[in-house]
Amino acid sequence: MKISSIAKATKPYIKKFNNLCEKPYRALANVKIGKYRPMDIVNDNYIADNTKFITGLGVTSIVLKDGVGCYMYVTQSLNNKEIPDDKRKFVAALDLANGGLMILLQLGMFFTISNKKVQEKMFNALFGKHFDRAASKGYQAMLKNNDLLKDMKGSDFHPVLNQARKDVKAAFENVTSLFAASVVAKRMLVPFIATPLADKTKVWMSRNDKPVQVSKETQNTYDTHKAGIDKKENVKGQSEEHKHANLLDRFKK
Amino acid sequence: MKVEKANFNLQQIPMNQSPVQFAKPGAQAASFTGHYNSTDIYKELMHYMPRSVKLMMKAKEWTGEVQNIVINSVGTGLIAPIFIKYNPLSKTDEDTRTYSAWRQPVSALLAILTQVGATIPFNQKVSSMAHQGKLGQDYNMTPFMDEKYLKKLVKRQHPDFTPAQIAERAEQMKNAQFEEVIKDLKTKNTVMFIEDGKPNKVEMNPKRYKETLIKTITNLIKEETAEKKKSDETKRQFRIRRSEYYRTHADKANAHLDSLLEIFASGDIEKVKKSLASKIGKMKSNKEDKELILFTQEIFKLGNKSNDNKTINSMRDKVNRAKSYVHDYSAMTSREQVIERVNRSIDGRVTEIDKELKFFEKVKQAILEDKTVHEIEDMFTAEHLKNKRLQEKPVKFAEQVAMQLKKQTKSCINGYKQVGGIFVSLATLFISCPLLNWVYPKFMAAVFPNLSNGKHQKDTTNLILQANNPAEFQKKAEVKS
Repeated sequence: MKISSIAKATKPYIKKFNNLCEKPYRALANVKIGKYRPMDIVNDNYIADNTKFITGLGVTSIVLKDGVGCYMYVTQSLNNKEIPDDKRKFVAALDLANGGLMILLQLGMFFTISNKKVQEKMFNALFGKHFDRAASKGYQAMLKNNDLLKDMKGSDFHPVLNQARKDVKAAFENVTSLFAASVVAKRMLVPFIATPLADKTKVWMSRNDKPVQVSKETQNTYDTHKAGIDKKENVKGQSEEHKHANLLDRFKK
Repeated sequence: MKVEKANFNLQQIPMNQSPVQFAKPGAQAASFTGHYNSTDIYKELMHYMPRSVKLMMKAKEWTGEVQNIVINSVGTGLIAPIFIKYNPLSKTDEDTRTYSAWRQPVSALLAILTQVGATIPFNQKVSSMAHQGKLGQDYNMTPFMDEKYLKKLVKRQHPDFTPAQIAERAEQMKNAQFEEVIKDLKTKNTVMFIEDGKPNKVEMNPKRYKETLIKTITNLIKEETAEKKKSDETKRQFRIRRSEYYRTHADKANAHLDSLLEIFASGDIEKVKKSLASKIGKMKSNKEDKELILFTQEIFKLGNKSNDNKTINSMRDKVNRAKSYVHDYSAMTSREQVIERVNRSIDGRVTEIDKELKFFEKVKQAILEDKTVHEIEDMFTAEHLKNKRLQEKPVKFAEQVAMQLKKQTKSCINGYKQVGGIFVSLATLFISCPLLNWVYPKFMAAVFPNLSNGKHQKDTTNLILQANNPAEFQKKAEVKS
């Protein structure tokens, strides 16, 4: 059988498969809730270049993922036998505290940073000088040096500069809002609060547990409160039986 | 992006001709104003913009789910671990915190691999379907196929073409397509779409078509209203302030302008820029008049980004114009006279804008009364003779409509990609979460064995061996070394 005849024979199936794959794409474009198409709302806001809506959709995406991710991480961490027993609850508690705080702080940060007044101030402080009157005259003069644009009028130039300002401002609003929500709120503030909160969450999660034996292999040797000498004293203070349980000590003997 | 072999019915492009034979397209890129192509000005302007602005423009191009994932992952991978590990508020031991902190970069890397890995093909499929008219008219890019898609189309049909020939042909096809849209708007009063890759084109939904026309004229109204506001408020205040300064400080201003002309005498832009920068510095430290400092800064900014000596001519022209203003305003005896003269000039401009705005409202009414694009273009032609502002800035309505529709379609596709991207990355969580739980302990055991069970188990085995059979242990250690 020639390759061309195989291709011919499989063509209708490939087409069918392709159509099947395209179904969800078409469905998303045309899905209706009652009389309304949800995508019409998205389209209208994107056509109007509504930066707040566009950025809001980005933050919604991150928040939704955090919500689902939080649930999955917590359940999976609790059941993950490969994480040491004594650390498993803390890892899960950290995930839970993280998830809850993340969603709240990200939304809070987004609404603060994407505020029109805040944005205007930040944009003017960082980019204002590139679009002020003097800069505008400067760009115009430089463009006129180009032979192709030497007869360009202010009426040709100003709408373009305004469009450039609008574009830069939209991008700035999007990037700063996302950065504030997903980096500052989620990754700076949340861990700062979530780590101590995780201690409490761990206690709450372990309220009905039997005492867990701490793995000797992963037992923490770091003590932030006591100096090294104290630790030595602690070792000295160990029972004879305990000492013999340590193979290294036995070998040193 | 997948390119369909199917019929795109670009009858105006004879596909079997070589680009050389087809080298006279005559199709010019669209112009907003009819004077200069705004896209060309925009591209040229971007050359002179500082790096920070260029970076923001790149970010604008990348707005969407991929950008969200990348920003999110940067925070997860680089920032979060520091705040988990070095958190003074936490009472949990440092080993556990370190163990938890390392989860973040591993998680970020997996998020990028899985989520971006799924979102990019999704976006490509959306673009491909939009270019074949498979997603409905809101997302139909068949009248405005982009260069990337057209290049792939040409490459498929002419595998023998060089990259330059492909680019040239794609550019010709793009322009011809745009011309065809304008022709349809003028002759058929609609836009024709290819739907589902079928050869017969279909007309644009009349309701959507009317909405696009209204949106086009509304945008023109918005633009002119903003211009009016700018003239009426910002420009008026600025010109009154500066003109009044020229009236009251004529000698000082003249002396300063002469000193600037002396700087230009060198004819070397680099020297001029240096001298102006040091002059501004000195003026600021001597606390000279703010108006003169501002004026000098404006002159400096004229040539700030330029290395071309021709820029000095623009600087000199501006200073000479200022000298003539000083001469005119210094002859005035009161502030009222200055205000009157500035108002006269600004009011003239505002009146012209008002006239134009009135005309645009008439056009809007005509669209609501179902006038065709051809009839509206006739209205513009007739008004052009009477309206000074339209003479300065002519409007080709059909081109404006085509540009508006293209922009609208692109925006809808971006919205679709964002919403679809949310579903895609949510779905990938069901892969990335278990993957993280599988990879993370293994990664920790391999890279940080002291923090996980793995190394301890190995250490313990070694210690047992060392205690029970020192000779064999020694042998193993020697082999290892």
